[in-house]
Amino acid sequence: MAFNSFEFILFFVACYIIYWLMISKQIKIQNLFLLLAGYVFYAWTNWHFLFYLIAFSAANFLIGMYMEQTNNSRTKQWLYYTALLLGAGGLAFFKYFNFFIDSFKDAFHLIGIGLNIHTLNIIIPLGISFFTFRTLSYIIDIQREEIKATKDWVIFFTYVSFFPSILSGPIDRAKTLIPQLEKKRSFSVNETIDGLSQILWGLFKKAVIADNCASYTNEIFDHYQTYQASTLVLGAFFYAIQLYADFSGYSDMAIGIARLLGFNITKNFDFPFFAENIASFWRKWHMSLTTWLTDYIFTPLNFTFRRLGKKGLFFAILINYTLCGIWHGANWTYILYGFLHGCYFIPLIIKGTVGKKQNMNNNSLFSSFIRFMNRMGTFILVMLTFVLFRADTIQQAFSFYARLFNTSVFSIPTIENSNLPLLTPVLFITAMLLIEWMQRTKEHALQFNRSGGLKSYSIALLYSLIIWSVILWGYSGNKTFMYVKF
Amino acid sequence: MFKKIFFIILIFLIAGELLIRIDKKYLFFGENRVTQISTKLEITPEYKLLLADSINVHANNLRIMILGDSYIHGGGIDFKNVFSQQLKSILQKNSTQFNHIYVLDLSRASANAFDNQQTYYQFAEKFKPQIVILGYNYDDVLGELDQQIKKISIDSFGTQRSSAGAKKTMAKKISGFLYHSALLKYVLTNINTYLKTFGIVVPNSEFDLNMKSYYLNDSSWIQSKKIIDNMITHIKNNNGRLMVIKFPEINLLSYQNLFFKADTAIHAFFQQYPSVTFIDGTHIFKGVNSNDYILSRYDGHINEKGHKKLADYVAAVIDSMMKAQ
Repeated sequence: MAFNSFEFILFFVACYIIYWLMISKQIKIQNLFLLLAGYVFYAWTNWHFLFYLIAFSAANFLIGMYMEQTNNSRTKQWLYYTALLLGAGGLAFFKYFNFFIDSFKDAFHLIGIGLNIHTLNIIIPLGISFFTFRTLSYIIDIQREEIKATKDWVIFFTYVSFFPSILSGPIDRAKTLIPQLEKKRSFSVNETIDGLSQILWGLFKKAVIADNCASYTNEIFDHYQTYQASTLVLGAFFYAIQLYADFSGYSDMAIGIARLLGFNITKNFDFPFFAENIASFWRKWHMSLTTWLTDYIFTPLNFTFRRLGKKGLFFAILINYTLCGIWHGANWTYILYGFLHGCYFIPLIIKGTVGKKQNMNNNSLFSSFIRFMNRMGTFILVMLTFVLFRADTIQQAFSFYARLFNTSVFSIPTIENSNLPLLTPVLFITAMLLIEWMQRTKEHALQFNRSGGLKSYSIALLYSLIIWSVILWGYSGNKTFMYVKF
Repeated sequence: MFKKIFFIILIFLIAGELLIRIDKKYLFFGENRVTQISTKLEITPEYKLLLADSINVHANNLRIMILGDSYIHGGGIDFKNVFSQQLKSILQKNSTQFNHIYVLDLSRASANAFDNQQTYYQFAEKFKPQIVILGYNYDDVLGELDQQIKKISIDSFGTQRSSAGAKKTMAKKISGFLYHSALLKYVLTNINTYLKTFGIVVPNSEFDLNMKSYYLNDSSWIQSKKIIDNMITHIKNNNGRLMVIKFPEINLLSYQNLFFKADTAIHAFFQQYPSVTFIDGTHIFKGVNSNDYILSRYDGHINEKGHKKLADYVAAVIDSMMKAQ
């Protein structure tokens, strides 16, 4: 059930009415209702994995409880590793088993040994990477004594299956979401308007920008061998925008939906294409994953390698981002994608500016030329790595790169399919980026102070244009989100 | 407060009106939709052979000409899987009677009765088809049908309304404004389409007027009948046979009562010609799960699977026809 589908609208409206009008005073019933809604939402696509989700939640809940209760540090340690094994093992089996087998066979094949090991026909449970990372953070935080294990199973199960974010994140931490589940939520008109605005912006990005860009990227990437370099550059540009608009659109909708239910969930994107360097980009792109990896992978690694100085920092970053790549899926393209991003940090490590945060609170419309060039440079570097994200194999990506760097890059891009005018998506992308640039200091692009006067009519006009754009140009053929497969 | 709400609604409506007009003029993303399909003829191998005079009409071969609109042309479907190509491959596989089987697909999106007639006459002399398959669709009576009838009934209905009354009262000014509103047309068309999928027809909607043109025997249907009659006579005089496939609105298969009167009129017309083989597509798809054959629930075109089913059926009819000869 995708957020942009008719069935989800019906489902959510029914949930919303029951949630606020019928059971708003009883928090326990509200939580139980959210849990049931989460399971219905999850089971809608494939009910078989609901059992896995329930069993996985139950195991982690019990382990968390015993870790909290036990005074024996060895038992606690044992429980902790069991939970880690359970989470990582589940991920390894469902997402990476066949990849490991294939890579193992390929490696032996290279030295002339043919292995007769068969892969399995595995169907990956939807959202497994997201809910596994949620439970892992819960267990690690209990081990670190940063949070206490919850004794209320309904709250924990709801935390794992919280429907706005179960399929594609944001990856909420227990310390963010569980306290909100424990206390009473109150209805607020302002929060509702803000939530709806964020949903609208997410829908615009998904339906108008991402889905329409998909027609272009599919055409260009599917026939890249016949196109000149300038068209391939345009294809890579459209794909970068498509990926951003699709994923951040989903996140905006998830955050907006959670807001309508009275929750503030983790922000996932902070206008990443305005980042001036790669470190800043990762502080703005898929933030919930970045902070998760920073807290549980990078920081411990950096601590371990601290004696190696800058080299240690580089190793920690390289491992962190390679793992970030692997998280996306079992393919060498993702591994290389993560590895390249790790390598992009080298100049910052040498300059010692990895941790330096970029100031976005400058409200001026135009930034300085240097800052503009930094942004362009960062965008181009990121855009080039997204080719790996789109390619099925490393060979395909390299073949694309090989065609990219030649003199035809300076020619005017053309596309074979005359039904795809090139100027149209550029126009819409410019409008999207312009609105985001003007709103870059806000939580999301449609967050406004609703004061009276002429300004409120300008805002009404902007909202109207966005709503009509979704109605007229929202490509209704595609209902799936790109990050659901992760 | 009410004033503010009024202005906000007004802004919303004006923005909608503007964007719809801009979209109509510049077709922003419109052309990459499945619903927007090419109205050009498909350049098939048969078409090229015909142009090169390489089809020997005196040899032992079977020549089938396909006419019709997007329903038979297969809008939104890969051309190798459309009706004509599937039919050709089935006939080539099963028939040993002929040295060659040519299926000349001259169907194209938006073709009406007049366009089909024009196409037929343009290629009939050269191709000399033994079988002409006409994919008939309800809206074949729409569009310009000859030089005398410039406008179809729906347009003339609109013209009468807009030109009525020389003296413009306020009510007429408002109704005139609403009549020309792109926003209203867009919204109403979409509502009509949506309601149709529940078996509801809005009175005086395009669909309603289209159905009425048959059972009220209006000028467009009368003209269509004349055109088809001419074609039937010409085909018969040239020792050919016309096969008419009336395409079903596949998304409305459960609501056949919507078409009952129009179907009665169409059947009655074709049944008066013994030389015409009339195939009612609705019967072919009777009892099936229509979801297996639709392209979109808002659209009546059949998908690839539907084209295959139809091709199988028609191939069997042609086979028995050839054996009988």
